[in-house]
Amino acid sequence: MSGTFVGMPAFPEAAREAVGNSTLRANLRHATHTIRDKRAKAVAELADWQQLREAGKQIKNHTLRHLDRYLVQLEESVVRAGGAVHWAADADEANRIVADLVKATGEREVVKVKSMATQEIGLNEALAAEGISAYETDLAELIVQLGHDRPSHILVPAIHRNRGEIRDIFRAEMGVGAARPRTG
Amino acid sequence: MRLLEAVKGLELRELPGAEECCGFGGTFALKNPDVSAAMGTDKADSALTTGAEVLCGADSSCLMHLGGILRRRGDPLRPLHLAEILASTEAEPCV
Repeated sequence: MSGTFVGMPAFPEAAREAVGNSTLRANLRHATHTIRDKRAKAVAELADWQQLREAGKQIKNHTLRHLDRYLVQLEESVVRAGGAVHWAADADEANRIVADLVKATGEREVVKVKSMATQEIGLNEALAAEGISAYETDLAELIVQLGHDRPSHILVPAIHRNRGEIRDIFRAEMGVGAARPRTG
Repeated sequence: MRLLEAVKGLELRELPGAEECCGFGGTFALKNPDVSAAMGTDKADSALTTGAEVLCGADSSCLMHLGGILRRRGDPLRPLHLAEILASTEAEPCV
């Protein structure tokens, strides 16, 4: 009924299982409270916080409203700086362009930077289907990737994991120090 | 807060995480019952840490939601609307 991320159950159904996971809830409670406290501290440093926030909102809305113009402007800037810009009409086309670029080099492995757009279009899966392994370089994205998981937050993709879980994921997936004692 | 502080015989305990929603939110509770109950449980738990006998709120929906959780669990905490406390007298106390 409601639009959800590809292949995921609707929020109320997904939530039913998630709220029963006490580790997950403790992780999120700890992380969100830490982030909120830090945010409050940063906000308190600025006298014109609300005005800055409003200005940021207006810039964002203006940019989105005139995206046609700004995307072309971006292309011009990137080309001027020596880069190349590819245009794709949808997820499939975007994935195909990237896969073809990698295939043209003959490489089977690529590194990726943090990108929610490529998460949404399923780039890693599309590359895997072409026999190309993509490695996430962002720490949180790497945790998500090695955990065969999904990012749970746009800015903090592994916010649902605690240190112990991350250690276990790294040990299991990187094959390092499985029997090494904990050093804190 | 100032009104409550002025009530004779009332010892005010601040609610930790007061800015957090109780999770009722009108139709939210019907559309997302599990999240709503989980949020209410967190809220009830933080209210219990104060050791207070009464949980005061200014919104009847929040109080109904939290009251349901507290009552079902048999917690020693009673929800009361701000108006009930302010309207009470020594002759007719609310607690």
